[in-house]
Amino acid sequence: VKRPKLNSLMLLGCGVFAGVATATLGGCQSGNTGSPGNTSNIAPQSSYRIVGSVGTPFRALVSDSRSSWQVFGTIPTIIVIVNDSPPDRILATKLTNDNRLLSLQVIQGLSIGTLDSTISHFGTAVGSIGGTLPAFALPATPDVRFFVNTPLAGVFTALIEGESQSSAVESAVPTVILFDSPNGGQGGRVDGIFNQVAFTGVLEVDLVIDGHLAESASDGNTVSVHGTVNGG
Amino acid sequence: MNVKYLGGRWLGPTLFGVLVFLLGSLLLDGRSRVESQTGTGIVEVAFTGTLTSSDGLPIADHYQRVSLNVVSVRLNPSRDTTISDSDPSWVDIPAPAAVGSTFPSEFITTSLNFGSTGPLLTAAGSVLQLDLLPLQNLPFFFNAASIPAQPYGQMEVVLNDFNPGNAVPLCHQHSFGEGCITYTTLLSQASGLRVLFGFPFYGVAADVVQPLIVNINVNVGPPPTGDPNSQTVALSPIITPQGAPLPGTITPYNPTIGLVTGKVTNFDVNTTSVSAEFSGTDQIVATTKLQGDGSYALSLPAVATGTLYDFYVSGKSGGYVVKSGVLVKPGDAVTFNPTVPFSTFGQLSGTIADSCNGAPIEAATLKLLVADTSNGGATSCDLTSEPAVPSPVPASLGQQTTAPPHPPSNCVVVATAASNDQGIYPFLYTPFTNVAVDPPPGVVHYDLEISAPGYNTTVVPIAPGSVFCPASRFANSCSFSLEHGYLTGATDLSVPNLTGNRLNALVMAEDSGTNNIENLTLSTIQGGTSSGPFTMPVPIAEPSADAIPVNSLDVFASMQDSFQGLPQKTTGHLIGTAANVGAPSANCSTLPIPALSPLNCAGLGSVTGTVANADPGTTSVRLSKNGVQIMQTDPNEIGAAPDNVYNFCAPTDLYTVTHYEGPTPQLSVPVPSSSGSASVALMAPVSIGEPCSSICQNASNVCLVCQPTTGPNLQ
Repeated sequence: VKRPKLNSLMLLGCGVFAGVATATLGGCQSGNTGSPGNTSNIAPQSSYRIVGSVGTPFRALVSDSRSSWQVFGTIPTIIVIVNDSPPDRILATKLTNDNRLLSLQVIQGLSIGTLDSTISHFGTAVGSIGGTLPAFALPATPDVRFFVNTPLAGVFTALIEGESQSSAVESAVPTVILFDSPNGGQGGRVDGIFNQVAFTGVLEVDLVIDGHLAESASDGNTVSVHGTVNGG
Repeated sequence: MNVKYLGGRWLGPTLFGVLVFLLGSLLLDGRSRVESQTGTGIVEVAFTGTLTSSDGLPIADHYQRVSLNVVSVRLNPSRDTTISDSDPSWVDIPAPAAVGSTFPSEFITTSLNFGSTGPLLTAAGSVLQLDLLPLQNLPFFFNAASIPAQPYGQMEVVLNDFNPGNAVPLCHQHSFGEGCITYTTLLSQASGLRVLFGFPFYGVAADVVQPLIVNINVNVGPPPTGDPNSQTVALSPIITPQGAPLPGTITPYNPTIGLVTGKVTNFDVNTTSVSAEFSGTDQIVATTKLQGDGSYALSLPAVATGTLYDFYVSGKSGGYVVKSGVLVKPGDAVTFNPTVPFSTFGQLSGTIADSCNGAPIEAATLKLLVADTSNGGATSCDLTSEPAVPSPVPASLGQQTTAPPHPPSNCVVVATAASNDQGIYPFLYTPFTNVAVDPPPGVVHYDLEISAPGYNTTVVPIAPGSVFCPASRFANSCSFSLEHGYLTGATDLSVPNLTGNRLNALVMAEDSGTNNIENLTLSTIQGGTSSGPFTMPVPIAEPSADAIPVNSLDVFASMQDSFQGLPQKTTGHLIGTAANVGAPSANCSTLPIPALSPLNCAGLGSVTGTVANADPGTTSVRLSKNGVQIMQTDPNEIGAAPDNVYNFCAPTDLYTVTHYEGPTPQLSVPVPSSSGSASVALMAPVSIGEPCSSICQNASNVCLVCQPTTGPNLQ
């Protein structure tokens, strides 16, 4: 039995689809690590690690073939796309007028795809993976994001779910998880269940849908956030 | 006492053992006695660089950028360089992932990490891309790690297997390979990434912080004659750790870096730390905790003529102690013996929001400023209009003639925070959660600087003896709404976009006549159209008294191009510009600006030239178009002669190159010489027929291969 697992860095992702999900994912939604069924792992997917001089603010424009997102953050940050639709492309821009380092790793599965970095004023780093994406896609609709804010440098696992799909994620804090086209881009429920691998501080997670905070939760080891996407 | 009889069969091994002991004693003689102790020592790995080209010319004549993708540095006690990669004695100092990595020591941290709590269960390895050109002039601190205290015989720099490095060659005449785009590299047989330490060992002492400086000598092969899908750039890196002979010589490599030592009075050994940051910034270079007696040592990178640093002491023993503008030179030892004053502690917190719509501002930067009263008259960091630049700037360059208000130059950033997705700060367990509320003697009050791209930077006082701001919009916090206006305009093509794809242009707004970028946004030109609108928040000209006004903006746009499907930093489309467009006057107001100059496909070009009297710590060259500064050489990139070469990759067009000097980029000014600035026209690319690849598609629908231009030699 294979457990669907979507690591932010390795991203051995798994999509579990309607019908199958109904029968098999009840346990997962309650945090049970039991069998989700016999769904095979999907192909290794992509994620982005933006590191360098700690605290440097940046803006990243991330796109797959279906959606794009603007992500504001500070170094270090990991960006994960759940339900990714490659090819992917990223443009990360440093937001400081100094020589701080911004280093970008584009990762597919356990492999590093492209590497780029900048020390220039408002310098950019670019990357792509999974083929050629000639232009950035239109902004994501709906725009569903999970922000895992603390504990800094802690490690967590998570289950990101729509009504017809579930993906397991493992990553380090801070991470921004972008949920591309949940429920087929239509309205419906989304949720996330987060667990710390080892307790290192308060686990704090925000779920933001279309720019509005749907739910914020914090706890010691396990956090759940839920929200509803309006019909498309 | 019983005496054991030793038979003759034990005599040989016993004598051998005695001999080994005696030899070992002789070899170890003169080394620190702590090396034989058990325990761990802290090793700070720093890289320096030496770059050579295949024809002996300065590397900047051929390449804009050469980088190595470093996975780790590892040490082994053995002096047998043929030992296996899986030998259990290897000790790894990994690339700083900054997140989720195993960072075994929290004794000393560099700007690239903040410790961690454990490895990811499954993850791709961290790789740090090391830019080699500035490394020639300023050492780069890679990472620090706690490793077993013992003698080490050899070391290795481990590069990424599949992509050991990248190079961006300049345009190359008579070549069918495109220049100014990223190529992968191939390591040659001559590479030496696993080498012996100088005889006999590199000793790591227990409970001591010590640098390990490694020079990377890289011979870079000739620029490629074909495109990236068919050619790579050959690299031959050879590393030399300190004490070992330099390649081809018997001369040992004896690098010098800056050293700051001292002893702190009134400290808490568990929490008190000393931090060094580039002067006038919050860019921490290194932070160290203290030894049991309060002493500390910080090794710091510095250019030959010296690098300015600020220092501060923080922790739970008392208030902050700051020292601003200290010049650190390689080989010099600077002493800083601070006494920590009494203070109580509190958490500085609040929310940062947009004053126009109330929306939270994500990733706003907050800096806690403390004045160094021993270095200047300012006793607070309230905004001042005192000149910050050493000489007036020629009005012909369009620079603002009066400097905007700014914090005094003797202010030191002692803590930094960022807002989260809801505009809330601080994150748990970060410096703002433990602020010493009592300012140091002589300091009137702290100040809080709040900035975010597109907003007026605001500097507000904090009530002395508290962590609250009198001007806060909520009681008992430091919560503020940042002001801004909007700039709206369009990017244009002379002919409709017939590429079959959307075209994305990155639009940036900067203070007029400077390279101080205020914000950026994306403009998209749809297929079949020739214009793409954009709107972006920008600072306003008439903000409230505690905010820094911006009187006028320059705007430029750069198309996001790809080559053979891979995104590139450089663009073959013309840079769109609009100079001195003004700034929105009032909060939330919108300023329409004229369309930028056309972003037509022109193809790439490159330019190289020299700068007289170049000093890597102070010299830079800026590239302008129509009075708008659009590019600048990277910090510490231009060396002293004969490496005083600047270069740029840009779309073929007419530009101005200008020599700037200044202790920091913010304080740099044009050199007051008639030959410090000159015009240059980049040579047009050559057209080639199919099959071919091109950075962009022009109206003739041919492929464009860039050509080099010899630029002016700037005084």
